[in-house]
Amino acid sequence: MAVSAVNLQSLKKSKDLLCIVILALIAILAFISRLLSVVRFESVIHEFDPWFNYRATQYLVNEGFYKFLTWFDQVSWYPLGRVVGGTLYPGIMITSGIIYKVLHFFNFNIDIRHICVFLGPVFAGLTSIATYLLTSEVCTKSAGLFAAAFVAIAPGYISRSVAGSYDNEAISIFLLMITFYFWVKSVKTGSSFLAACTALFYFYMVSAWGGYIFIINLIPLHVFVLLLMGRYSKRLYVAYSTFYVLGTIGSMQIPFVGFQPATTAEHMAALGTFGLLQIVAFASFCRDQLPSESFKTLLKRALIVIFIIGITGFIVLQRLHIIDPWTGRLYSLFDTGYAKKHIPIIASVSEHQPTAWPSFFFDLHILVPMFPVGVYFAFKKLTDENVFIILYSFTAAYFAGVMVRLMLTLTPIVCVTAGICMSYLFDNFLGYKKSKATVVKVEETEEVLSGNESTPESPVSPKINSPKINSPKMTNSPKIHNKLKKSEHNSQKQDNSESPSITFEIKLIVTLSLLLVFCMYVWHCTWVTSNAYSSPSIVLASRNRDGSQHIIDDFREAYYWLRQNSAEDAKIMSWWDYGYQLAGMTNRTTLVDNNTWNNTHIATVGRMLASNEENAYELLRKHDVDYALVMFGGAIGYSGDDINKFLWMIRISENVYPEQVKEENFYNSRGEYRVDDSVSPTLRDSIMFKMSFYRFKDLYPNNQAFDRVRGTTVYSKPIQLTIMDEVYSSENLLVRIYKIKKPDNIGRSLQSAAVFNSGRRRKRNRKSRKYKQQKIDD
Amino acid sequence: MKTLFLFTLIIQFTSFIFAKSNSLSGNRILVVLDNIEDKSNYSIFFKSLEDRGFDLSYSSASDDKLELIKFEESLYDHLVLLAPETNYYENDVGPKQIIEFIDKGGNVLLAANENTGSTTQDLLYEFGSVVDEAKFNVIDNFVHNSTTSSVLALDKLEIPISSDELEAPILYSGTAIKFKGKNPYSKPLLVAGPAAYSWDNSAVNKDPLVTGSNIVLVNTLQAVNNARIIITGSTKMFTDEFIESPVKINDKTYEKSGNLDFITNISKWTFQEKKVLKVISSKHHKVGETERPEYYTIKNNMHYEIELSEYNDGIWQPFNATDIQLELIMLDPYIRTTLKQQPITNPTSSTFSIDLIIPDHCGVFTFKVDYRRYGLSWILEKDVIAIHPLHYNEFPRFLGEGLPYYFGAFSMLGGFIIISILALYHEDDTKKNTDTVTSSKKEKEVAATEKKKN
Repeated sequence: MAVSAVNLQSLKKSKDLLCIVILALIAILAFISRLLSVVRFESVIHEFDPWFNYRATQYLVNEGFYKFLTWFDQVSWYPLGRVVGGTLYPGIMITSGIIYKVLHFFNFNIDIRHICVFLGPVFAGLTSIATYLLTSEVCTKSAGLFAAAFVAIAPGYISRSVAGSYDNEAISIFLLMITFYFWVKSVKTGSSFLAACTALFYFYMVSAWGGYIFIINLIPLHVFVLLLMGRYSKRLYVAYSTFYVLGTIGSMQIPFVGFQPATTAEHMAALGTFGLLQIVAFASFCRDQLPSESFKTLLKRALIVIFIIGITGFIVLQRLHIIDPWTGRLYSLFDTGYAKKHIPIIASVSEHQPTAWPSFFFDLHILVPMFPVGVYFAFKKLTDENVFIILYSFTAAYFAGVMVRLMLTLTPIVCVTAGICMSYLFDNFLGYKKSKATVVKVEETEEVLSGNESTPESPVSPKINSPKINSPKMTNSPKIHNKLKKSEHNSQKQDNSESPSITFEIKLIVTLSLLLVFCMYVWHCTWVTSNAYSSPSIVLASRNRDGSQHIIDDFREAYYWLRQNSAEDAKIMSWWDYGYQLAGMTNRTTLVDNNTWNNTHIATVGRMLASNEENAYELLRKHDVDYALVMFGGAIGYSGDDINKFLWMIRISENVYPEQVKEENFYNSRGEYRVDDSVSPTLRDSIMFKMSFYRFKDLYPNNQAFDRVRGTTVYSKPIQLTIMDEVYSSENLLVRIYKIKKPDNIGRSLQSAAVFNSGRRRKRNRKSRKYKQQKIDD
Repeated sequence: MKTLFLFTLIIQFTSFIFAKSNSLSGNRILVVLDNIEDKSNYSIFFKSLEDRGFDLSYSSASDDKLELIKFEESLYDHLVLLAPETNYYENDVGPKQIIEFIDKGGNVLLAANENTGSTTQDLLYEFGSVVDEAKFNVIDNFVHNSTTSSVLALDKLEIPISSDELEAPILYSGTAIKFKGKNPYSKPLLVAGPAAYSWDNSAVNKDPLVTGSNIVLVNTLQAVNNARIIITGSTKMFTDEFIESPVKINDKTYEKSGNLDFITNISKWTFQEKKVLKVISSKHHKVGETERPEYYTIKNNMHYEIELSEYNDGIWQPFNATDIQLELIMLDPYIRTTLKQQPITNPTSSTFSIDLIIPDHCGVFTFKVDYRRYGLSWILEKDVIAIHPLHYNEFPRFLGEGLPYYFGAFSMLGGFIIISILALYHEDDTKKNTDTVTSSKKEKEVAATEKKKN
């Protein structure tokens, strides 16, 4: 017996080591698979938002923390400016700032840009570890390893964490998982230390991403559901009270959040649950003191009264505007048509659209079918932490269906449940000891039980193992009792299922086919990563006919031109999508950017673009605009250009300026949005149309100009642009920059000055006079 | 011959140096005439210009040596166009080049007449004016010289450029100008009387283009770059004949018309000899400081100061005004206030200043003095500066309103310490009672303290 125990211990040690090695390998894999974009292109910041984060990080590193905290950015949102310090989640900047300082302290003189570029992959590695911790906490270590491996390469998560994608989401998924890990663990153990850790990571999460709302609603939901299930325990009380108080105090330290936890509707669920928990705790205290009959009636009445008071109080406070109503973004989560009707600016963002079903498969692949299986297993063993997994699964699945962007929060839980599912499958089909059928059935069932705590493949007799794992602190929990009950249950079931005993062949087939599925998953993930998610989107790549890669670098080309050729204080007008990139790459003042905090200002820019020259000029002068910039994809077929986005611009400005901008005017007489000769007059006169198609026709001989995005010929008459001069068009005409003219020196309108300069003489007055004469003669 | 040439060159050169006019923008005037012989008709006018130190060059509009701009440089500083009848000027000196000349800062004095040709017409059109058709005259049967109803005698300026009074009426004979009213920088200086009309005696069936005081006789235009332009419908106004002519209007008779005075006045204005304003300096800073800050913070006290000088006939002198306004603009003006003139300390300039409180609104503001008054040069002084919100360490602290919260926080601290001491050093005398109730109670207490500790 002693010998076997020693063997057992050494075996366990080697298994732990193996586990650590596997996990480390998974983390490294997660890091490496995200580097494709750097290998393909270069170490460059991607897309739009990351450019702002990068700029803010630079500011933080150069100017110091306190200046960053109260940073008033005067080169964006001209002339309003933006109180950046108070309107951003500083987590990611501070994270890279700290890394930068630490590395520089040790004389690693690494450029801040590289830290920003590689932060996503590094945190992806950490995410896989956090996922492992969470999964092994709710299931087994092997499930944890599976989940870690899944999440390391799941495309749904890779999409936001490739190298260069320096965005809030890159670090917050890690924070999400680690917060949930500590939460589950603290509920399990009732340790206030772990609950404080939960609060700490929750604070970190609040500082990093607006998605913290998910945590502060999911955890109270978990508590609430546990209360409803009658699973109130002191562990729960300690965990939640500690978490809520510390977490809320922490979250209020972030300037952008401020007093929101006390005033907004999004946070009220957490507060309500906190209050409810205190009541329940008090009630359970009373139950201990009072005879059960009188207690029950007391409880019932008290609960009803409290519930009514709570709800009415909430409604009244909201009506009195003491509690802010839900934000539009939140409404749109429950009514998918809401945003389109009321807040077009939210609806206009592609990542706020409802998810199309193929994208589930695209982002999750084989995890999709495994997901419900994992949830099923969680249902089968309904512990406190499994309740959490179930709740997380359902809410995340719903939200991911509503908004493409929230696929990101779904991915980790899908990986967790898939890990659970896989570990169960392999437990049943790979456990060679069981196949020999020499082990007594009782032992088998106990192995299943012990599998909850130790590795499931554990071939040793669990009799020795199980008491060790069930540490003394667990004994006061009712769980063991539950487990025993359940295991009995399981054993009966297994008796039935095992009766036509699984033969080696079946096991082999199942195992092999699962392995094949894994291979396909890895194949798919690699393919998606390399093809869909590794493009920096400021550099476009296309294939030549011979298969070689052709890089389209128009954005950087044009931005660089602006940086070199415009005055330091030049103001550049463009649609808000390009604001962050413009600020980051050209270092010039922009009117609007991707931080869409002021809808009116964005609508004004939309109105400028949708107006005719005369009206636009007035607005452009009012905003001191020096340059206007449009994206035009017609020449190379880049479909994300401004003409395609134009209808959204119109809708957004119509929302604010219903008198000046009307969407229906931009459709032609047949109600179509066209750019060929049947173009609507309003669209034709808008400066957006003019700036896009100005002299485009001249690129092609005799009226053969063809718009490759819209797939039509273009408006065939020459386009007059009098209020601005074309100063730059990039190589593929993708970015077109115009300089706004100064007012005419001698007081003419720019249109008439342009007509005069083009050399056409006017005789209108003469004609009008003769006409008048005739009229008088008649 | 060669020495003679050299001699004249030297003479010219010295005269160029010494005979300096009072014009701020230069001495060189190009006079364009229909025929070079017409020069003698305007001898008094030209003489007066030369006396003022200008260097006049004469050219016929059809002269092939006519040049205005060469290698993108203006060859002259001022242009006198007394060649309305020529349809096309030589060497492409057309409206386009003349407008380019204005854009480069050149000043133009332009006269049309009853037979205005296309070049002048087009040019006038660009200035926002139209002349009446050929052979149409301005006729006023009530206010005219002696018996000729087509020679108007006017003794009142519409909006005088300067306060100079007319000593004698101005004689005017020519076409009507219609001011289209679209040009914001254009203002009529002299308009016809209420009974005036534009009429062609030979073609009776046409109706007049304009009548009454809508007939503009002399129009002014000051461009954005402060180039000045005078437009008139009468070339005759500048002739010796009109300058010398006696005026008999109604009962009064004058020995000499007021034309020379008037022409001198308007040409002085046009050629930047008077009514020129300039900004010597403008600065703003926080009260108590002297340097322009990098940015202001909301509700700062600031001081704004602008120093102006006015030029009249060769002298820079202090400019006096009570209507200079400062605007703080962020899309809309947040503050618009009148600057106060300070006591004059400098003989050549005057200072306008004000102390004010920065608006309680952050943003990027433009501090703007936009002073555009008729007759005076346009002054536009802009500075873009950001107004920041309060920094984290600029908020007031230890407010009276916060006292309940301070009390709450400290009482909580005290309470925590007391409860911890109680919980840690409290001997339970109900120890003998091994009831589960108490044990759970105790456990709860311990848990609560643990919670608070963490």
